[in-house]
Order: sequence, then structure tokens, then C-alpha cells
Amino acid sequence: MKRTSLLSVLFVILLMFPTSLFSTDFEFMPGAAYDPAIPTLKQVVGHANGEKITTVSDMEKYLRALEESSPRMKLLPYAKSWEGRTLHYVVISSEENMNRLDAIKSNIQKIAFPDQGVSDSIIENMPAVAWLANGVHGSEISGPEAALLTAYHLLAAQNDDTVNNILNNCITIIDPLQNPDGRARFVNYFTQRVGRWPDADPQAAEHNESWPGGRYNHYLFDMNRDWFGMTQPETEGRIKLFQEWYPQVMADLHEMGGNSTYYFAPPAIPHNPEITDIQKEWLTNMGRNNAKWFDKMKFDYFTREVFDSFYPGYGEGWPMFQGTIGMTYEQGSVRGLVLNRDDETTMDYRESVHHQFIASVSTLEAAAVNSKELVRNFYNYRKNAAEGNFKREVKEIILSESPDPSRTIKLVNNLLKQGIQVKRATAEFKNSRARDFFNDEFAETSFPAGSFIVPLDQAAGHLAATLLMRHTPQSEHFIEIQKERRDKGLGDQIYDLTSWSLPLLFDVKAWETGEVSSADFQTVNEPLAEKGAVTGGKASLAYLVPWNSNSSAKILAELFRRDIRVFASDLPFSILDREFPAGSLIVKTKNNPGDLYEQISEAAASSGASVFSTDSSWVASGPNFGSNNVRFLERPRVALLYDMPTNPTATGAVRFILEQQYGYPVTLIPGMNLGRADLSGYNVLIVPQGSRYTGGLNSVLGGRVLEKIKSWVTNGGTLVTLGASTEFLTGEKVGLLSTRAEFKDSPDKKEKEGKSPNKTRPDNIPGAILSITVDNTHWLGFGYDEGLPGPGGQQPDFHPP
Amino acid sequence: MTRDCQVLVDSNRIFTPLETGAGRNVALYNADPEKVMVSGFAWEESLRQIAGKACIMHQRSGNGNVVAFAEDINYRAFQDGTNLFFLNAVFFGPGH
Repeated sequence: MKRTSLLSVLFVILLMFPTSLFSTDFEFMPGAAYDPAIPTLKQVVGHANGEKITTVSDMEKYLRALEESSPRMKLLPYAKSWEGRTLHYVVISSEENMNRLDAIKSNIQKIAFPDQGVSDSIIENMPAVAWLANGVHGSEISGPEAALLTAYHLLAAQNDDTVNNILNNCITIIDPLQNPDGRARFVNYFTQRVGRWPDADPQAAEHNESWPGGRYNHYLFDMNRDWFGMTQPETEGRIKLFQEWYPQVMADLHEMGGNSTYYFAPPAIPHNPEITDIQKEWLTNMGRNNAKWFDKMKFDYFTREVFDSFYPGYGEGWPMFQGTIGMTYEQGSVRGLVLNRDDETTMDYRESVHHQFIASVSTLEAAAVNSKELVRNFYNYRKNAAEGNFKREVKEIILSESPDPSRTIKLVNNLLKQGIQVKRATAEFKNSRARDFFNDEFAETSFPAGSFIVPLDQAAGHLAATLLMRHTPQSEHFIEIQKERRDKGLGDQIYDLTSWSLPLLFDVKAWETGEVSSADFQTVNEPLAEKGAVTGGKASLAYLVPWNSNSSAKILAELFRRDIRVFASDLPFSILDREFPAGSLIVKTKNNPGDLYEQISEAAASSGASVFSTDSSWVASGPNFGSNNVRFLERPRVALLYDMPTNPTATGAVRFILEQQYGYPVTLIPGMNLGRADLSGYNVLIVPQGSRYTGGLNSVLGGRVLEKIKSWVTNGGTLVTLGASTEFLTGEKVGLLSTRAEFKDSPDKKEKEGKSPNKTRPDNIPGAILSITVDNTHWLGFGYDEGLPGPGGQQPDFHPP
Repeated sequence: MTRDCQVLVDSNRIFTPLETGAGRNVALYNADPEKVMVSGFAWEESLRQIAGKACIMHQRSGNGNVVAFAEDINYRAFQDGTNLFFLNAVFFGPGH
């Protein structure tokens, strides 16, 4: 960015403030006349739209005031954030539509599931559902601000043909704030730093958030990647709400860097192949309507660049695979109240809110004008999907309960929550064209009773297909362009992952079929539950837990938390006519509480783990429970490096997995405090990846601090590193891991000998799923016994010289 | 005993396997460049280089352990298939 002298910055600030930023008679919609009975933002919270960054609580206060002022609006809760904030959504429509909202909702269900039968008159008389989602990233502030204005405009504008059309022909859903915890974090940060005058210099503290920033939710997840993972309560609430309304149009309003203008549909390539041609036409139609408004208002914009439509975990992407016209909008962010830009203009917050507001009105207008076609199109989309009118080689995905039923159950429940139909075989069956995920050829295959079948010919089939098939290809055209860029030494244009196939990520054995299975099936209507229990009643000697499932780790977490003493075998053993793999837990009654049976029964029920009682340690094979190969498990006391210089999402995921998914406490140690932290109370230290924005781990893990960590490890600590932090260990001065991150192999090593060594890194592998071979005789590989077929080929060399 | 599993790879880090005696390579990428990628996109050269390289490593240091994952296997918390590797490190590390 260009340097501007301090004086000219001050001049711009002083010049601008009295005239534009604080004036309240600005017309967001030129010529609009408003009903004085509907309260303005200024009347309710004290500032006009775009004048200040409205806090989360003031947003709710204002929306509540709007709801009370008009029968055309409802404000309803749909989820609760981790920090206890309620997520609300707004419904706005004509009074006539509001009075028959329940009937409309029930008709939407009929249209979304055409196989259940729906009359033409229902389709004809249906308003379009248009959804504006805002602020999934809390630091992207203008969308939620515009949401307040859009709601006001729809309720208060008088004699406005566009608004009347929207009220009559649309059910408008506004999710004003998808990430309240993140916005609260941003607003606090900004408020605490802004001075007498808001500072336009992008280098000013108020524009540069401290770790972790408002983008993420409490557990530091990027919720614009979480739509099918549904790990966060905010996302789960949205997925449920989506299925109450099945919108035909959905815009997800974001912000991008402050030097950019505005982005809307159509998206850049690659497009996910499960997006239909008709959807692409509609993306263009919607974009063209926005362009009409933006041209008239002289707002800059771009389309078809940067923001792709490939990964199904975006707020734009996931709805698309349900038949919605899903779109991302991006406004250049002021990240504060005023910002100098590289093009020598100064942008204020109100301008950014204005752009988001016009894009919102334009989107609703296009939905209203085309409501009949959009509803018909949505119905046809779901019907075609259900009837299989789409060229796709794969007809079904079959999921087995192997190798770990708890993972299969979680995967199936995850699909059910997304409105994907799953069936279960009640008897053994055959499919003459089936292939596992490591085979290209179909062959006749038998499946046992209990196998799950996900038909891809179903209303939500496009979603099921892209989530479950082995591979979702990018177009050859896109890959060709990337090759050309690579030859020129330019980076690739891949925006996110290139694979997310859920059976592979969950390590669930699965098949693709080339023909529809015919057998006895039952539709799975209720979420599945894993029933953990103690087999064999109260034990006199010990309880055994096979280490073969994610639920085995859950019960161990609970036993640790209850201060129960646990042993684990480093070798497999067999007893009670049952094989126990290496890692299996042995909980002896001796030296444990008297109510061990009650406690372990509770832990089995809550974790879903299987527990077996034994009155003898006389094994048929393997070590007896008094063997040196049966180790006492020292209770983990876990420290997690937090804050700078770690990557927020990486750190948040570690904390979330331990605390929320497995139920085990961690202590967060701020990176900058590591030097003076007393680590002697901890026996595990997790160092998540550093962030490229934070200068990496070198910034805190040097010299004395490093020596301290090394002696802590030598004294018995377990240091766990992931990704970039693993690379840190290999540094010459660190010396904790005797390997290195390789440079790129030369195309022909021999010819290059004698030349200076190649010091470039290998090309990035952009989120692909790779096969690994695990040595499960080592305790890190315990629990991985029978697995998926794998791709075969030569065994890698575990013991290089 | 070995068993196959899958890992999401989203980086340009390729680690040479630990030499015998220096530590244990607990998981290595499949050795066949043609087969190592199960799903997604990557350049041929990268696949050729990562085949057979280290994914999960363990090195002793005095009485303690260094457990090193080449990738952030907890990414987005949606890779349930690799959870046990991570929990083995946290729950079994102090006892080993």
C-alpha cells in the first residue's frame, strides 16, 4: 500500500467527519420514504446505520424493537453459541403470508420431497424463500450491519414497488449474525483501541486484531468450512433451520481485504460437478441483477474470479447441493470505521454497509420477480435428483460397520442431520456392480445384514454424492490452467481442499455401486445410538476394554477424569474366548474405589464403549495382567500451547477434540508465557501448528525456552507436534526430531550433481487424501487393527538404514 | 503388523523417514506413487516424492517422548478416522 503522510491522514479524517460519517440524513435507498412508526436504529440504540459498529446486544435490541413495531416480522431463536449467546433469525413477509406461515412451511416440505406427492396448485401459490446470511466471520462486520438496515427497509419503506413485490412474493429469512461470539470479540477489540478519531491508516492497531481475531467462534472454528462437518452448535442449528425452510435463494455475505471492491456470483471455477447447469444459469441471472443495481449506484464489483464453488462446507456451497441458488458476496472490509485504500480513496464503514444493503435488496428483488420460476425450478431440481436424472456412474454408497461401529454410527447420524436418506439392510444382499474405495472396477459383492445404503438418487442426492463418493473431480479445463500457471512459476488457484470424502476421513469401509441394490431395507428414521455396557456383571478381578474404537478413547478419558487407575497392555492378549488388541485397557478392582462397578457401568453407558468383566488374569495367550508389558497409565496432565504464535484454527481444534469430543481437560498456556511457565505439573505438551501470520514457533521457542522444553522432555514429558510445528522440531538448533522437511526432488538428480543443491520446497499438496501404512505394534498405532482394503502395492520401508 | 489408513494432506512438508535407531516410523505414506493418493488432486512430482515418506514419527529423548505428526490431523475436527493416533499420543504417552 502507498504511504500517506500523517498530516494528510489527519486532514482526511477532520474533513470527512462532520460532513459524511456523522450525518444521519444519508439516503441508502435514494428517494425512499419511511413509515415513522417503524423505529430507526438511531432511535433505538443511539447511532445511525453505518455510523458505528453495532454491538451484538444492540443488534438484538434493535431487531426486537422492529419485531414489536410490525406484524410483518418475527424474530426467532435457532441456536446458542458456546459463549451462551442466542442466535436468532428474522422472517419478513406480507401480513397475508405471515398469517399463513405454518401452511407455507408445511408446503415447503412437500416441494422439497416431491416423491411424497405435491399438487400443482401448492407449487403455483408458493412464495419463494430467500435467505440472507450475515457475519459468519465475526470480523467481517458490514453484513450484519446491513441486515439491520435491510429489515428496517422492508418494514418501513412506503409506496415502494420493489419492497411490496418482495413482501408479497418472498418469505425473507435474514440470519443477521451467524457468529455472535466472533463479532463480540471484534467489537470489543476495536472499541478498546479506537481513539478520539477513527484512524484511516490500515497499519493502525484498530484495524489489526490480536490473536485469534473475530473471524472464528469460541472454539476457533472457521464456520464457513463446517457445514457438513457440523462440529459446532451454531452450524448444527443452521443446518436444522435450513431444513425447516428449504430456501430457493441464499446469499452468504462476507468481507475480503480492504483494497478489494465487491464480489458476487457467478463464482470462479472450479465448480463442483454436482452443481447443475440450471443452477449455474440462475447464478448468472442473480449476478446480473446485482450488476444492474451496482452499475446504477456506480459501485465497483467483480464476478467469476477468486471465489470458487467446489468445497461443500461453505455457507454458499452446502445449500447449493440441496437445490438452493447459493452465493457468496464479498465486500472489501473497512475493519473499523474508516480506511485508506491503495487507490488513494478513503472508504468509511457506511459505504461498505451501503454496498451490502444494495446487494441484499437486489437479491430479494430478483427472488421476488422470479419467485414462481425459482420455486418450480427448486421442485424440479429435487424431483430430478430423486429420479436420478443426472449423469453419474455411481448409484449408491454402501457403508459397513467396520472397522469401528462408533465411527459408522457418527457418520450415519451426520448424514441424517443433513436431510440425507439412509437405509439399512435387514438381510444379507448382493450387488453385481460394487467397488471399494481402492478399486476402479465394479464386481459382484456380498454385503451382510446391517450394512447401510445411501442412495444417490434422492432429493438430497447431490449432497450425498459429493460428501460420500471417493472423489469429486475438478474440471480438466481448470487443471490445464493450473498446469500453465505452474510452468510460469505462478501459484495455483485452488481455494480450499480437493478432497473431503467422508468414508475416507472417518475410516469407514465403503463401496460405490454401479447399480441400485435390491434387498430388504429399512429407512433409518432415528439417529443411531452406540450402546456401551459391561458384559459379565460385577468383576472380582478386573474390567477389560478392547482398544479398537473411538469410544475406547472416550471411556479412557472418563476413567482418567474419575481418577480411576488404568493399565494398558502393549501386546494383544486373549481371554474369555475373546481377542483383545494391543492397547486394550485393564482396570483392576484392587487399588480402585469400592464402587468401581457402578462407575465403570456409567462410563460405559456414556462413552458407548464395550467393557468385559473377568475374575482371572490367566490369559489364553499374551501377557498376564501383572506382566511388564502391561503398563500403568499415568494420568495425562495436558498443556496446550495457545495464543501467539499458534494458528487459531489448529489450536482450537485440538482443544475442541479433547474437551468436547472426548471429554478431557486441557490447560491453555499462552505462547508468550512459555518461558516463565512451570511445566513440572504437566506430562503432555501439545504444540499446534504455528501461523504464517505469527512468524512461526521460532518467535517463542528459542534459546532458554527451548532448553527448558528439552529438559522437560528428557525428564519424562511427552511433546506432541502437528504439521508445521513438527517441522520446527527438525531445525538444526532444535534437534528434537532426527529428520528434515525435504526440498523438492530434482527431475534428474544425477545430472544435477555438482550444481548447487535445490532449495525450493515441493509443490503443495492441496488437501488431498493419501493412503498411509501404520505399524500397529507401536503404541501410537494401537487401535488400528483390521482396516480398509487400502491401495496395495509394495510395503514402505519402516526401518531404513 | 501393519494396516492401511488415510490422512488428509494439505501442505508442502515431506519428511524423510527416521533412520533405524533414531526413532520409529509409526506411519509412512504408501510407497507406490501411482497409488498413494486415494482422492483429490496433487502434482505427480509431489506424489512421487511423498510416497514411502514419514507421516507419524516417535523419538525417545531421555525418559520422554517426541510424537510428531507430519500433518495437522485434527484439522477442522472432521477426520474422525485419525483421532486414535492423536489420543494414543496424549493418553498413552505419559505411560510410555
